This record gives sequence, C-alpha cells and structure tokens, in this order.
Amino acid sequence: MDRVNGQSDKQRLIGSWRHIGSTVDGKPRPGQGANPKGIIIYDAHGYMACQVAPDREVTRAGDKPTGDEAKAALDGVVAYFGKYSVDEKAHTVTHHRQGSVQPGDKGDLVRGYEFVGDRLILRPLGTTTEVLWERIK
Amino acid sequence: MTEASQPAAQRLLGAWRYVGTRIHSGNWDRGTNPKGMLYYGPHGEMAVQIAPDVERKRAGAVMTPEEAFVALKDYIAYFGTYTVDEQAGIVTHHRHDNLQPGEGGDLIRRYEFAGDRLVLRPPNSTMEVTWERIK
Repeated sequence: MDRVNGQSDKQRLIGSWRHIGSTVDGKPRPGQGANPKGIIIYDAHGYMACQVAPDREVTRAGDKPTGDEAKAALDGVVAYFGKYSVDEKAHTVTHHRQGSVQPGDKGDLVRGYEFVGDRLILRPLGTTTEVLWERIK
Repeated sequence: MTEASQPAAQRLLGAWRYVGTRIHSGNWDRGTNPKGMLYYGPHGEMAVQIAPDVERKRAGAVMTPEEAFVALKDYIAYFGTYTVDEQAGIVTHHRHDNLQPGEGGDLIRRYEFAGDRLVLRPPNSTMEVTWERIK
C-alpha cells in the first residue's frame, strides 16, 4: 500500500473537494461552460456525495419548472450520493449510489484515482475522461 | 467535554442521514423511503441532497421532458458555504449552486440537536427536517 505521511489512500480521500473542471481527451468536457462548480465529499464512515453543475443559467418561468425547463436544468448535471469503497491495490474508488437525480442513472460507478499534491483526479474506467478536484482547506 | 456542551458549529460538522420532513405536523410526501445526505465541512463548506422515493426512468438514450420533470420534482441538491449564529440558533446555507431552476441565495435554518438527531426549521414555517448523524 502506498502511504503518504502514513496515510492510506482512503484517509487521503476523506474530506471535501472542489470541482475544478473535467476533460475528455485532454480538452475541456463539452457543455460544462467556462466555470462549472461542484463538490465531492468522502466522509469518515464510508459515505459520499457528489454534485457538479455546468456554468449556465437555469430558469423557471412559473411556480414549478416545466418539462423543458426540468430537462434544461438536468442537462450536464451530476448529483448523487451513497456509500463508497476503496480498492487501494487497483487504485479505484467505487461510488455505491443510493440516489441520483439523473433519470435512468443507477448502480455503482468505478473511478480510478490519483493524488497530485492538493489535487485529486478521478477517471471513469475505460475512458479518456478526467475529473479534477482540489482539496477544500 | 461532552458533545452536548460543544459549540453548535462543532456539533454540526460531519455527515447526516435524512430521516424525514414534517409540515403542519404531517409528513411531507417524498414517497415511502426517501433518502438524503447533509454535510457540514470543517472549512465552512456544505452540501445537501434529498431524493424522493420515486423511480426516475429514462426509456431512451436521452431523457424526455416528462422524464426530466419526474426526476427533478422535489429533488433537493445544492451546495456552497455555511455560517452559524450560535446566539440566534441558526445556520445559514449560502448556496453557490442549486439544482432547482430559479432558486438561489441564502437559506436560513433554525437548528436543534436532540441526541443523535438534528432538526432544521425554516423560519416562519411549521416545517421541520430531521437528520440523523452518520457514524
């Protein structure tokens, strides 16, 4: 097990991380806008939550969003939570989702992780996508 | 120091599991088994999500407006920073982003600790949202 300052990877994950962008093939992921915002939290008891919002204006004309407004509000958004487990050998963290706002979006997500200084890079396995996070401190 | 004697800012820290919401002494209908998580971090950061117990279906590769409407309805998801006013017994959520369209700004909540539970109440409302400490 790789340890930095005596910490396991799981211990290093614990806390909250600010979203600083995501890339596909090294280029900014389309549809996220200039300044997407987000947070991912790993707590000490095995629970996690993640939210990412593209940089866009979401509006609502009436009291409640219409179907089209709801669809626009969900476009490109990540919002889920649940438990997580870490495989330190494989360098993966699995998000066991209990709730996700995206319709039809269920089940576990496996992410390769890498720590670079104060940053955390999460990579969906089998893709060229990288999601970048910076420790909140 | 016992937990009860700690400042509220200290007791709020960590993750909380959603228990339920009551309004006018009845249950707010989010389905049989709604789930949610609330987090207060040590650096002033917070996030919350509550997912009503409904099936969020998508028949095709892309959601339809109807499917989006159902998925979004009553789903709470926002994050930002928070401040605690111990004198007034309130925590304010300064939202940086909110999933629900057309809603932003600060939310003020009166807080009350009851054992392992945290009850949050919007001012001038009979609503109370109950959370249980994850441990």
